[in-house]
Amino acid sequence: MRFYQKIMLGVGFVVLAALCLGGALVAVGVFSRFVVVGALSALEQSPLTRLILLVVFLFLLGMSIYFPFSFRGRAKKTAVPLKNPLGEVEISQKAISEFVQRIGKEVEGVEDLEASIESSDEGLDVHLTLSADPKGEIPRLIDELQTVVRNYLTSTIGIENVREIKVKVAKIL
Amino acid sequence: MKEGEENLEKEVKYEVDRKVTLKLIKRVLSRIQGVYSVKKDLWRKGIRMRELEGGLGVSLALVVEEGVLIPQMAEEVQKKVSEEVERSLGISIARVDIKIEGMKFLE
Repeated sequence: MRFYQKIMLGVGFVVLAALCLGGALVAVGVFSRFVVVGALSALEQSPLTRLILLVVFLFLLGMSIYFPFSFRGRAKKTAVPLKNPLGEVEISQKAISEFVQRIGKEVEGVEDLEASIESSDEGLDVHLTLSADPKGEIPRLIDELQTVVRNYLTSTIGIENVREIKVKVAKIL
Repeated sequence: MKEGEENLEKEVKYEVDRKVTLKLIKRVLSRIQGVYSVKKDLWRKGIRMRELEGGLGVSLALVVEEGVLIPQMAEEVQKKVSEEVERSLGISIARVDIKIEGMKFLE
């Protein structure tokens, strides 16, 4: 999800929460519904506030139409398919991440490792974030880690199309 | 008695309860090296079966042991499940789909 989508979604949730809270408070009688009606009537008095209200509500309407369409059709795959003539074989991304984390930690110099997987029609992308031991040479360590993970994904798991293995060194211990 | 009628009399019609098929599949899986368990949760059964055109379709959600070669293991599971169900129960298997849901790391 992109940054502007997060902002829009956040605004949507805040508005929804405010509406729900307001409705609940009116329902339990904490304040009268006439207060709400009165407040809205007061806002109607000024042309500027009416314009602002119009923009806000049009924005919310646009968002409610945009979001369902923006997420449709580009949902990320949660499992990676493997070739097999006898049926469909898939492996969940979670399982691959666990696997990669486990195998990556065996590389000398890798102290802490987090793995995330992205699968698309073009192939599999692996993102690794690690804490490294300062004794090891970082370029060598990254190179070894990439080789180990790639070999493992290809030979043990059977994923032929590993597109990219990105490594980020987050911390030197 | 005509030959056709004789054959009809010999034909035995029977039904196999789904539970029996399920139990047999579980037993087959327990014998395959590398399969740790069947993964099931609140929303999804670990072994699902559905009627397809060419026979029974089986979907399995599995947890496998660390170090297992997944393509080979998957093929073995597919073959053994198909063979055993067809041989023991006479039910033809159209396909066996597998989803690897997790790994069991042996300390």
